[in-house]
Amino acid sequence: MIIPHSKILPRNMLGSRLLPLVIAVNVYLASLAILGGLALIGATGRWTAELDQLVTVQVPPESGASGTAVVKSVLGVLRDHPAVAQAHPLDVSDMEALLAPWLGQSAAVRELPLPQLIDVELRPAGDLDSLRKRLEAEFPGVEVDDHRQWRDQMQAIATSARLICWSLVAMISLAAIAVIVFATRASLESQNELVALLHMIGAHNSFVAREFQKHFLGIGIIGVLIGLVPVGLTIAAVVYLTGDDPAPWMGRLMLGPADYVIAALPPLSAALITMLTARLTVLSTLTVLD
Amino acid sequence: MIRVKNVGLQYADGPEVLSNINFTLAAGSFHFLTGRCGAGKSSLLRMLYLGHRPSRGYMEMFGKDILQLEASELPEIRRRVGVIFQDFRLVSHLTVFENVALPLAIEGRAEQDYARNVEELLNWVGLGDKLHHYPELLSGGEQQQVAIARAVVASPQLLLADEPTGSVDAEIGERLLGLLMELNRQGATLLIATHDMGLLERHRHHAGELHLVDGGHLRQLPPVRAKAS
Repeated sequence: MIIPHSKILPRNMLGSRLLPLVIAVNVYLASLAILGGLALIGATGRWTAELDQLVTVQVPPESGASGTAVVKSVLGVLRDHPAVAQAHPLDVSDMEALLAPWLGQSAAVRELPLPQLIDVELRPAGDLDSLRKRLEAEFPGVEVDDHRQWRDQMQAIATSARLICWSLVAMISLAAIAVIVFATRASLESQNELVALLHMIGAHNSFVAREFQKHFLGIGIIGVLIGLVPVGLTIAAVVYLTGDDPAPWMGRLMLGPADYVIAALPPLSAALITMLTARLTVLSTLTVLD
Repeated sequence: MIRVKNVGLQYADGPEVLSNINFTLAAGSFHFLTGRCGAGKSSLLRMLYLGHRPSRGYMEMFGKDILQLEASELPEIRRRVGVIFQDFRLVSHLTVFENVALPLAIEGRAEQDYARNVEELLNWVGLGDKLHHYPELLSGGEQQQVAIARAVVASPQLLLADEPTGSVDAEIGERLLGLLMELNRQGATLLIATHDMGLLERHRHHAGELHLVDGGHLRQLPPVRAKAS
């Protein structure tokens, strides 16, 4: 790949020597912010999509045969209802596993008056309201938990992740732009004799700006190429760590092809931002000098 | 071609360094500009290559009223003026060829279109074997030759030279002056600023007019007729 450069400006101008490294770091940070944000947004999206299809029916604890009969009746209603794809009650071992984080592996759990929980998977576009009304009408005390609280929290997390992600990218971009403006001004200052000469022999400001723009586009491309190395290494490390059989939470963090396209935006835009920032900085500085 | 009437020049808010300047440079004419160091010769040249516009008066170059032009219109006028600076102002990181080609590059011309012309020009000034040398490897006279080549490469209508022989020995100075006068014979208007009285005495008969800058004022000395050849 041929990296553009100015044929008139010196390659190692003051203010632009370390700029490729600064751009590389910014590309890496912006890519990480976007990749992390996309992974979290994707995961919360998948979690909420799963929760949309699941409800839990709670049958209040009753002793004896009447309790079991109520559960069977509720199951019968659920399995016959058109909104329900499948329903199965949690058995004692499932309940012990659910409570283990709080109560430990204690046999005393079996003695507790626990509600009977039934996991219900809804059909796509299943009418949850009609199911809820029927259960509440036929079985007073039975509750239908649609996990709204969890879902709302997930959506709040997704919204926050999106905001944080874009804020980070905006801040990283602003920091990069500030550094590029500083570097461009320093370069312009270091070449003021050359710029004055160019003006005296008839160069327009746009010509001078175009030369600086070419110089900084080359720097931007070099910075992007350097920055892509740690980005690639990081992605490779994540893929390696998740392996063929990732943990459920990590599996949900996996990125799709579209995510990688979005994550490519910082590298692609960094060189262009560098070039445009340099051009605008030179033009504005020279216009003031005019 | 150049008409200057009641022009004053001041830098920022300082005092006028040139006052009530009046002169006309006809197309193809040759002029010497002389005066003591600090009298204002360089300021007058700077005004003519539009390094600084007059602060008052009327100045017409190539039919344009300079004080009425927008800043963005000045480069087109500057391209019609070739300048040989006293300190050469060569670009140290560019080769001899690139230095000379600079005025053509800023016109947006492709290198393959002008490469042959630049090489011929450098051959003409005697630097055909040093196209790819950097200025720091050249002697003072050679650097001055590069500066002359750069000033004339775009065929300017007005050629300004600020102490063109000030940094070189007498022999090279004579050769450089010969180059400038040859360019004048080819049609360029030539204005040479110098305080070298020996140079003036030797070449005054070639010049159409002699101007003296004295304390920021310009006086035109009586015209000198060229010797019959």
